[in-house]
Amino acid sequence: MDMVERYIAAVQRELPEHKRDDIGRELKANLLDQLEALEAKQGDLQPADISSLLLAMGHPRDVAITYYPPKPLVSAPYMRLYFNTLFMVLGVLLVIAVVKMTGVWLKGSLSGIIPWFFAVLRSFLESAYFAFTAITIAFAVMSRSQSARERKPCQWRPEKLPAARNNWQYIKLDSIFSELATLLFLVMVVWYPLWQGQQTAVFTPEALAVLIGFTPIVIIAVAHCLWQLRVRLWSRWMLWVNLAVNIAFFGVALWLTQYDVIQFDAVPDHNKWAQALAQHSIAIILIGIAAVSGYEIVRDARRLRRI
Amino acid sequence: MTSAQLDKMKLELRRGVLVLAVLASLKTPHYGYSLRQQLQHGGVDIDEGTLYPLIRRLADQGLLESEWRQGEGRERRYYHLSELGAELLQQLTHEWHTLNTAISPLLGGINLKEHN
Repeated sequence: MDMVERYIAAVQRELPEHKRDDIGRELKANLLDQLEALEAKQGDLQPADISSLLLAMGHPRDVAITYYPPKPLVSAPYMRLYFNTLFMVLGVLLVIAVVKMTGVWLKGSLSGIIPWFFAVLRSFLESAYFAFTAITIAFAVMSRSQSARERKPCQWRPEKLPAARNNWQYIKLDSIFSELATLLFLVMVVWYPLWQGQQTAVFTPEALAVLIGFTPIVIIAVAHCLWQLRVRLWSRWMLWVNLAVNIAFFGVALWLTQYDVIQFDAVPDHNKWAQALAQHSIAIILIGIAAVSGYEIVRDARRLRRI
Repeated sequence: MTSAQLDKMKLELRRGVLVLAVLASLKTPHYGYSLRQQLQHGGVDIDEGTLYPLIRRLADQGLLESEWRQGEGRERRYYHLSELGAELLQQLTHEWHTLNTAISPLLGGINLKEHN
């Protein structure tokens, strides 16, 4: 019987305080009934018989779960909204981290693109931990209060559903935020040194002139991203805007490959080989940007025919 | 179909039916083990790990009432249908008959021997 007592105690340990006595008492009554039936069938019980019966009942933790199933932190009706909120907030935090650390980098406090990348990551994670915890706690509280009272049926009308005919028309939050972060990074790299009065910070004068002229297109792209956040569905005119922006990016990226883009004069310890390698790398990155833009041009053109 | 898939489907199929079987059996009071025996004799095989928590859940929903009784030197918790449980049993029984009437003709053409 000691084994049975230990089994019940093990189950009780997995239960919340207010359920332990009641469930333990009932489990004991049920187990004693089973043991009694087994004894009537095969005579005196050996410890091995009791052990087999308890093994058949299952691990104490599993038994406790069947008696008192754990409640999820965020209930299923709130799960979609929870993920959307997390994506939205974490996306905004990523954009803020990129803007903040690009400013620090351009002031000269960070010595290269890799330290900049890690600084962005660190800044993002510092705020993301807090945001993740706060959002999860808020949704856990909402889930608890919702289960405590009757949930109101969601008010909706079929005729107000968005007129999306294709799955690709739904715009993912992560693609909006990654594009927004990239665009703001570009704006800051071009304009921040000028605002700070540094005339020759990152780019050569030729490249800087091209990029300054290109800024209105970047501003349109940023506004377009913000609009995407609001509507979350590709429409015909939005595809046209995206197509135009990508054509501009394609053209400017290819145009810039003709120039030395990065200004190395301000760097004191450079050498010719490293400078040539860096310019070559920049040219490859620009061709990469042109290739991505080219892909998006073809994609959007095909989508325009289908919408 | 793998045996795991079959077990999962069987479990889903039985889940609702077990509630009906338990409610119907508890028109007369039973304690956990005696209920299991009654179901088993009626051809409904259910293991203790499923039955005992199920009874408690139904009691928590107000469909069963329970009381502790002393007998044969120890205590047992007896469950029986509450008023709400009896009402629900009637509705579920009606639903069961409707479903059975609708599904039986659909299953009529299936040759069980092929699957055994």
